[in-house]
Amino acid sequence: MPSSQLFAVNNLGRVFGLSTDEACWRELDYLGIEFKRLSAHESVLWALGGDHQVYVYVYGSSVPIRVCEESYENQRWNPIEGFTGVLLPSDRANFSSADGLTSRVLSTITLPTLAWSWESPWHLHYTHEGQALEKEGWTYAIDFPRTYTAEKRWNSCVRRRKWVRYRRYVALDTWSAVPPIHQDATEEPFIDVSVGGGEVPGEDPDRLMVWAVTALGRVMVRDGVDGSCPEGCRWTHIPTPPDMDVTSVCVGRSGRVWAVTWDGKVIVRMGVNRDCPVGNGWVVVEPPEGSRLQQVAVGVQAVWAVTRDHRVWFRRGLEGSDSATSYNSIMGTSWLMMVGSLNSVSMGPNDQVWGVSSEDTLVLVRTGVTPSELAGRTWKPISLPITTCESPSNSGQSSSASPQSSVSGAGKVTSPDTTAPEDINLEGVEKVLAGLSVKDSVEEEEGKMKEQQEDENISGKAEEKTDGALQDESLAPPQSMVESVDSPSIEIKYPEDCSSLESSGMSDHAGEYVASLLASQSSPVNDLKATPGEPSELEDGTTQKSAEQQHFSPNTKEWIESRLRHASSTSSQGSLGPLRGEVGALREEGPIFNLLPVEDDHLWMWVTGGGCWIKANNMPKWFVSEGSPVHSSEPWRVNVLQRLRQRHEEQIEPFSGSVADFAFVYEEAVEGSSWAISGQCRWWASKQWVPASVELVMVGSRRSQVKDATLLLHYSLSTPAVEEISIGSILLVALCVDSSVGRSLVALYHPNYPLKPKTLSFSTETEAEEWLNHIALACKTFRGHKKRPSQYAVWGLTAQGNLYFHDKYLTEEELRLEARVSHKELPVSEGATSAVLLLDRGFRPGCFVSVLVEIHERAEQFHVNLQTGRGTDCNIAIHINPRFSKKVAILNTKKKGVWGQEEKQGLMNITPGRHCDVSVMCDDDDFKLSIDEQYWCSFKHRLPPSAITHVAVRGDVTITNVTYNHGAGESQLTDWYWRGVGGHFKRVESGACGVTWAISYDFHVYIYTGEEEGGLCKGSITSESGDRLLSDTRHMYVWENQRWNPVTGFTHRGLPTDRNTWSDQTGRHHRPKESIRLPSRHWSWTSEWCVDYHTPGGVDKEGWQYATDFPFNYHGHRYVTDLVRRRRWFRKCRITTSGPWRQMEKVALIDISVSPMCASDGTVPVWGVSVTGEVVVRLGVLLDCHQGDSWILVPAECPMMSVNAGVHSHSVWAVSKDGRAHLRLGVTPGIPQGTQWVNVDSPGHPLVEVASGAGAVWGLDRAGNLHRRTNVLPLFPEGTGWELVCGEVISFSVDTIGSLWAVLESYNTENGSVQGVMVRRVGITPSCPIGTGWQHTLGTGWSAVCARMSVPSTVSIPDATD
Amino acid sequence: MAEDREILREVWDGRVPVCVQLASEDCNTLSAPDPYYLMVPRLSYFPLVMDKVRKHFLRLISSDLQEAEMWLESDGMPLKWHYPVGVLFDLHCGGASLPWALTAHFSHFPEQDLIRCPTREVVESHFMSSLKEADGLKHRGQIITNMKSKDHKQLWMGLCNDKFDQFWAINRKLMESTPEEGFKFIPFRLHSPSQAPIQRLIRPLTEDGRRVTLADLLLEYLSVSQEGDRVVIQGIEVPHDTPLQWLSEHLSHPDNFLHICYIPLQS
Repeated sequence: MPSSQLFAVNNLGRVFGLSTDEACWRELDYLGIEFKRLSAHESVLWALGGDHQVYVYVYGSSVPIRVCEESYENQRWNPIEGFTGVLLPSDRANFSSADGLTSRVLSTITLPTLAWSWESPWHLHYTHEGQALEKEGWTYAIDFPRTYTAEKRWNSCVRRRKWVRYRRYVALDTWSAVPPIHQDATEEPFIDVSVGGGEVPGEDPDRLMVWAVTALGRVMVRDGVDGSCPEGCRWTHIPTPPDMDVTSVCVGRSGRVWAVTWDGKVIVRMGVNRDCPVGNGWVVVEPPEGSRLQQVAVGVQAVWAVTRDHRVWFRRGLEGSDSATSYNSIMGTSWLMMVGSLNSVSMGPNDQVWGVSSEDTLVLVRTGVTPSELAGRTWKPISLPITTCESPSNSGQSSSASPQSSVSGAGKVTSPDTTAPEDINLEGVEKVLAGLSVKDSVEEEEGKMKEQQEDENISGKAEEKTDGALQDESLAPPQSMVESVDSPSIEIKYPEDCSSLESSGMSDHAGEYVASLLASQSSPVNDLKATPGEPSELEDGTTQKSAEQQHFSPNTKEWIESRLRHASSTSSQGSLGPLRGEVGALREEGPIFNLLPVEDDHLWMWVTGGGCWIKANNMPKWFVSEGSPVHSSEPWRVNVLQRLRQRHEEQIEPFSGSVADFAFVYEEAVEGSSWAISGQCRWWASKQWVPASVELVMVGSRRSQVKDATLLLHYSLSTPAVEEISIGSILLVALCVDSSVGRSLVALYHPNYPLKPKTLSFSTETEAEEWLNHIALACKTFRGHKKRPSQYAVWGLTAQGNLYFHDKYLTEEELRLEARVSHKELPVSEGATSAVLLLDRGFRPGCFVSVLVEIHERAEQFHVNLQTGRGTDCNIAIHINPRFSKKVAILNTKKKGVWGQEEKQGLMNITPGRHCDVSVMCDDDDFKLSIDEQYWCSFKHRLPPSAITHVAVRGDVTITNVTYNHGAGESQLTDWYWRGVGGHFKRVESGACGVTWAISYDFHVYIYTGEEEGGLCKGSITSESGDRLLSDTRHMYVWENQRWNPVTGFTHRGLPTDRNTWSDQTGRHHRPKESIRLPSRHWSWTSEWCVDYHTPGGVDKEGWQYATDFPFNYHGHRYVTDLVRRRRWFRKCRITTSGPWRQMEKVALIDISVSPMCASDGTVPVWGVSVTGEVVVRLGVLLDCHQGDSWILVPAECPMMSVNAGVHSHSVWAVSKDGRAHLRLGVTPGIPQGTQWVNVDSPGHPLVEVASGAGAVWGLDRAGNLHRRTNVLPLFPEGTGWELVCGEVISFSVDTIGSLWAVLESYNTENGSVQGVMVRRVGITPSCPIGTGWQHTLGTGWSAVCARMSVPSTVSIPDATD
Repeated sequence: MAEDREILREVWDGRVPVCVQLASEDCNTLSAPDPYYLMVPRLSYFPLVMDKVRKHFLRLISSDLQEAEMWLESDGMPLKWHYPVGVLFDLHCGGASLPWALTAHFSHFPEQDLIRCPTREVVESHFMSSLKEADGLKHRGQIITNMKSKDHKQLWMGLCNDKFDQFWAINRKLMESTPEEGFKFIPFRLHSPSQAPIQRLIRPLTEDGRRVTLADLLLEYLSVSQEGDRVVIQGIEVPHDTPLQWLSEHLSHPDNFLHICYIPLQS
């Protein structure tokens, strides 16, 4: 579970966050604004400030919020002047939007608020539908609303070009004021704000709903709040029923809105859905009898409320069902009083509940809230230490110095040797002013003039400030205030002493603060200009230089900037006046803030858990300090371990075998013996499920190693049969839950049947998981533990999101093991005269079995069989039968109980009374037989040798020894052992130094920690770090299909040949919604079925896509010829699992690529593409710091969808959302982010992914065709064209030596086609660069592969495991 | 529970070297037979690990004693088989002189001191009842009663065969606790030589949420203690500030009881 935060406000109006993986409240940077109320969503906080204005706090994400503003310049040709901006009156404006309907003069396109800043000036866009345009970027057409082309033709009468300019949201990780309703913010202050949404059925998940209440009791909605516009566009008034003035509002994640009226009733918004996100009417809900409500909290399936007498109520009878439209399901039926007495209550995204208690104002959490028990059990206080805002400057003031006093301290920095900070200040001030000028001077294209003016203003103001500061009580507004137009006079109280401050708890210091800030920032600037080198009059005796220097630590710059940002956004309404006006109050700050009460005694006023994910059965470490699972550093634990080891040294070691002091070794009382786990299952045999008993027999030593293990299946199919599977031959274990038939399968992949598993079926999921676990653990211990996969590992993801890796780099120990596994003696009991032994890896060509027997003196005959089973009724592929009486050896086969044609051979030196070594080697066409290592004869295959499973020896002999070699000396792809790793992902990428990152289906980024436990692959005991909980969300889809007929229009009644009304995407399978089940018991539904309005290809407003017939190209608009339509329904579900992954916070990526090469400083650049299409590079990723330290943005002209970092410096490729490839130039070890994008054409179909390695570039298009870029040369990395390689590719990966790996959608084998096969391209040679075919690996159902690093051919391999 | 494999593994691998002599009165041979040297798992019970010894001595004793039950004695004290080996060792030998010298008897069964142990099943039922009692204290018995009988069997077989993973695969369920609450009560037994063990109710946390440590337990239940007395768990002297919850999770014997041995100075 990723960490998330709970937020609370204390009585001083400061905001504190409590992360779910910490046990400490941390103050958010204090920027001079106190807050009264907060409302949190996952990535954003909305708050009601002490000044009754609304503020928004956007968490800084690594991916910037960028918006591209565009404007088209239109021109028309006339015979005299050629193309000019003079257009016909009926034409569009000279500068217009793309459709020409609105005029967009560049200079009128301004930043929406000062939380934004321009990234660049206006510039031309040089591509048109993937084609590069000439220098001026014009596209031509005959007339305006036409198709534009890049070439100018004789009949081109009009032309246009596109100007673009990017703006970026800069107020990240800081508070930014949201513009008020009226220009005068005090005209209608706010009294409540609430954020919700994100789970409105069918709506974009990043579209949030923000509702607020003004002091006039009016309900306002903030429109247009989404991922690219966090502060929204405008306030819209939502009328309330007459005499229903609202005091408080709460909006839930699914869009439910409950508002509390002055008289303590609740009104609930009805008709909220995707088409009408603000709803269409109110319905009154009566309060609990005899009480008036004060506040409500709306969750997904529950509503809690607090009445004015502090009693707590839970609303009964609500239904979470999104499709439920009945009044009751939305409003509930009755109030249920809960124990406890609260001031306020808040609900989390999964209906968890928090509150602030009324007596002791503690933050409480409701325990035991589960989907089945939404009311929970008890309230539990969260009492944790509090870390206050780390003020960067404790400028010699008392320890309780608030940031404000430190800011004033900053202002006092005047010493001549602090030039750097002055630069910073200057820069900061300019930024503010640049921002202001944009707002103030819309008529000017460039704000430079104004900036200068403003600069002068500031200078003047600073002087005034100095003046003001000299006077004790100078509150007179300075002259500059007069300039500002309609300055909102926010009611700002300036407490005379601390008592008034305390009384007005959250009085408003915002304006004052900003004033002080501006003053303080500008003062050194001014001082520097005016009196360089001279100490200012302002310099306070208490301000110590050392403190000042400390203040200007490297992060100060950031700090100051963030505050300035706040300042700039606060003043975004042009309300500079009052800010400047309060300059004179500066002198008051010192005493006021020094008298703040010490912050030990927190009184919590408000709590919000809107973005906080907790689970009832897995509460955060908030409650008891010992909750932390690892005590490894505790002194007593260290001591205990030390003494235990000492005990071992003293009491055990001297007596155990390792020390030779004793003449004899103490015997172990308990011998290492085998142990077995057994159970019942069903086994797939002869095309049916037969009941079987399964037994895992492990032979191990004391230290719980597994020397050998065998899986035994006893089943009865007309006759009792046994299937033996040696653990060494199980290479991949997978779980498949088929809940529709109540069956959970454990699939075991074996090298002989690489694409067809042996399957055990269990009746319950838990049982199947247990067995999967037992088998996987036995495999793992049998093969020995390894610390972490090397950088040469190949990673694979299954369609179910499960992750496996195969480590291509084997340690010597493993090589020995391989050899041991491939060549082994089969167990024969002493003196045995007959035996049937399992050949666990079969008997393919290359395999070899040797039977050493002692032939009895009076022997008549014996035989050696290679057969397909254990029993007597099995088929025999070769029967070697020396008969001494007849002095001949018979060779034969037996198929279905019938012997074949006998072949006779001489006995060579097989004679009674001596030892004899009969060996059989399997060749492609025949068996080669030899006696005592001398060639004897050969025997043509009559039965496929792959069916052989056992060797049987019987007759007048004593078996001395049987050796078996399955010939795995050279590792084949189908011999790879795949180890499972916990987690659930869509994409995994690894690269240099073994840095491995993964992306989940909900776009969260995870970093591999190197362990193996978690998920279904947990060991019997987890490692020290404990389970890391992860969660992920997926969508399940069904398609609804309809056909048009002239009488009834579109109906579900189709033609008999048509697809089902409800189907999967292909339309071939019937998929009613009820048949869609959760993939496993770890999943739960988080929504109901909804129509998907984001189906690729576009939809109409009911979600339909039209086509002339099934299965054709679908489009979102209905044409007359369209006779069929379909629409997609989706339902969200969520998995909770665990795995060795650490989540990277505040970032959502759709693609990543870990560079296989290190940069010059030894770091590994990790490229990513954000959900918004921005390309970013993570810097500072090291072997021991896999998460890196910072993101840098690689700006691109168009949004991207995938990125790939290749081996060589010139090979970072990206694909834009429109399917074009882009090559990044200038990528060197020194400049990992490169310099410039180059556009490369696409191979017909739009591309989805491009990857490069070892000089080859490969691209995958949307139709699943893989192409190779031709003529790619070091000097010409772009190449010239695309060459088709293969179709039906789902995912591919290129490694450092140019090997091409892929997952194929379907792969044809002898027994029909299988889906999701991982393959490697074979036959890639200089003369045939696209290769000749595919070689498949083990297993099916793969969805992605990542093989970026290949084992170098040189022998010495640096040990990456250390 | 917080599983600390490193500690659990060390605890599990605890062994005691023993040297078993046949009691002279039972010996049927002329010369005294060779003693039998053995490494005995601390966490096991003597009846489970003495098969080899018994077999070894059976050849040397008179035929009328062949069917008799073997019992062990250390320094004149009959050993109670129903205590784990490690506890007996800590109480009677304490590692003063290794190996631990034991005498095997086949006659004169001390009926007043020992209970009979005719078969392994008796040990099993004793072990299981201890487990149940411990789980009763920890979780009101909910976990053990919800287990299948094959899980019970696996616990027992894990102990008998000295299989750490086999045992802990199940035992981890018994050691589960919520981090904020811990066990209901800590199942412990405070042994001291020549006294019946003390078993009381003690919670892992105090009313105000403080972790109860070993020191708290000793203060409450150890009436007399003086300088030089040793308190031994699993053969080691545990720091007294170690939380009981952690001790219970990691240093308990397979019967899920934390066996604490108090050894006064004079002994």
